[in-house]
Amino acid sequence: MHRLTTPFVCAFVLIALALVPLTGDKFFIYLGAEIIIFALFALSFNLLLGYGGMLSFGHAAYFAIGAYTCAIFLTTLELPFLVAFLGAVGFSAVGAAIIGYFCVKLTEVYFAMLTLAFGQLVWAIAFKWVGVTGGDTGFIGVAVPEMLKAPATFYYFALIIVTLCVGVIWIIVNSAFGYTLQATRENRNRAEFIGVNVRLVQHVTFVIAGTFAGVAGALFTLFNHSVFVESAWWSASAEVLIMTILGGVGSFFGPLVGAATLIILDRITTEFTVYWPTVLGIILLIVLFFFPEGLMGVFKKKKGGRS
Amino acid sequence: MRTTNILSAGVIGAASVLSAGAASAADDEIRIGALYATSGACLIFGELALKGHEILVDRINAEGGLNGKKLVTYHRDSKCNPGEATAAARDLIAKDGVHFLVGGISSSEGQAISEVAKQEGVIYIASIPKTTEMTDEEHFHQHVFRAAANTNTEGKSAAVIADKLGLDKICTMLLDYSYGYGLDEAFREHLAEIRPEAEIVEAAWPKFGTTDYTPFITKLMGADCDGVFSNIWGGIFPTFAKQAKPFGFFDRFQYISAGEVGAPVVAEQMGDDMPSGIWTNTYEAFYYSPNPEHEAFVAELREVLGTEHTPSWPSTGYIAAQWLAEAVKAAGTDETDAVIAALKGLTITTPIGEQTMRASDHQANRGQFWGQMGESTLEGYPYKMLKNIEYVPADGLMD
Repeated sequence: MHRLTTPFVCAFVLIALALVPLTGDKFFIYLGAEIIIFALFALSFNLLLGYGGMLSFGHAAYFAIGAYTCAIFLTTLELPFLVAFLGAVGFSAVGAAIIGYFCVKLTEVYFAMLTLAFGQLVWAIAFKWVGVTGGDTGFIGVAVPEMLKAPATFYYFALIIVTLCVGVIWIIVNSAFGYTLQATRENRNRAEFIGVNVRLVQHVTFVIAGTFAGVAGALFTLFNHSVFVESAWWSASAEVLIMTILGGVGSFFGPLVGAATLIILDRITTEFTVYWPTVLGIILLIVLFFFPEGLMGVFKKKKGGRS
Repeated sequence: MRTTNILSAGVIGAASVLSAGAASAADDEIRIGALYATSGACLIFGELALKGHEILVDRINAEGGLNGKKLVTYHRDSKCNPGEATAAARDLIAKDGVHFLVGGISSSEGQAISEVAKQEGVIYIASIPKTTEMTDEEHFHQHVFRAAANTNTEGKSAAVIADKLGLDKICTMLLDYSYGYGLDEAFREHLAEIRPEAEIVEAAWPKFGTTDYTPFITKLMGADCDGVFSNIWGGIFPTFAKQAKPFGFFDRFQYISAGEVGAPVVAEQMGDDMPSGIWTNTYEAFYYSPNPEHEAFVAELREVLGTEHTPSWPSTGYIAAQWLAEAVKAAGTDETDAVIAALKGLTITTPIGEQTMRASDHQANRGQFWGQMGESTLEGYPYKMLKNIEYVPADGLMD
């Protein structure tokens, strides 16, 4: 049942998303683009948390590295778009490789603390390196290519990139590597015992997750035409954690649903009440208490299936 | 199949909730998008600025609106975060169909909203953000206007005060973020011009968000200067003042503080802890009366807030909205290009006096109220107040 419905639902959602710009309503295009970008960010995060069992508090660092690299390459260095985009991907991969090298040496709460520390370090660099990043006033006026300036064009661009990325991530988690990664999550010692190089597997996962976060960051720059240091602050990492938990850590598509839900909730509550943190807090409480597997857990239970 | 049904129901449900109330595109309305943070750390400023905005809008509507149209405000909490401000500004334009944007608190919020205004071709009037970057050559665009003073005017007017006090050896103690750098540059530049014999002998840069200022206080106490220029602003000044007082810091130096430390709310909050004799600025003070508009504004504010001593922040929202209203009136239409043309070089009478919007860089010639903190001489006002207030005009300080 599950194997059959998944491609069907995916196709349905993809078609629905592709139809959004046809409504001609800018609001939906903007909202859709933001959801698509954050969906990728959350999905990359879930590679670490959901599949690798690694709780990172600094995942926003790679999002920010991608975002700033794209902005600086395009605007300050005036490089061609393709170079800037690939540069953003490359730099976030390198950033994740360096930081990940140190982080995977630790486990559990020590791992989490180290990722937080590195995340804050990236923030501090963005904050202090005023001449390059614009410091706390932000990097604005990014030289986005003319063809991506129209909201609908950008939307399709983001949709295609993110769909490709989601496909690649799907392949990764369903490959031998993906299963090995899950084995390290389930029982590190046993995995080591059967000859798995746990640290290497975790390090590679860290780099993959960071790279996809960087892609999301670069897309976010192109979407907003600006980057701000807040995107590297620890609360941005917490936000992606909330998205993932809300949607469901144990499911591949959970983070996508979580990202969409959180963004839509944020918009609705901000519009109607200034007490949006309270509303969000209550919803999270309900989810954590009654749907520990997140929103996707609801679907699973109804079907009585397994993941 | 069931999943699909649930999903599609969800999508349709969310879409209908989101589009509810969307663009009931009435042409008899002038819609203004107000972006003031009404949660988090900026709540106290955002709420008051919004209050000022509402006072003006309500009054205009009571008088029959503008060009026969009613003003309608759509407020979004910008959360003091540029990313949120970007999303909120876009929502206001795309969903609520606003014709104008006003607001922003921090400089990064201002930059973020300005970028959206540029992309969408909507006029944005910055009411509070002070960074000069917003209107510098690189980032200036036709749709951004600023009602607030900028760091250039604020820093240079502080140099005017330093010159007036005859300070020759000056220390600076500026917060280590862009607001501090902006002030530092303007202050040094103007001081060199008007008082070449003065020198900056020491500079301390406390981190923004620091809670222990002791190392910086002792550093300056040991420095050979007769005055200190600082920007430890209103909301965080009480912490610093409490730590500096036991050292006799404020007795030792002539202290010149930017960042609205002279605002009545800060004086009220600090009570006896507010050091006497320091020089500082404010957006406006209810006990200082430059004109009848000011008195009318203060009276209205008293009534709306139900308080005798009115805060200074509502003036920021009020004046930003006033620019918009006067420009729409002058243009005779709310059409964007006509309003831009009307705003260029426009002179209006605000509660803080006459203001002109420069045509060249869309910066209002907003000056600074400077004064010296002293005991209250007002009946029923038991807190310290600004004495010898003077308005340092911006005209000679803007370039």
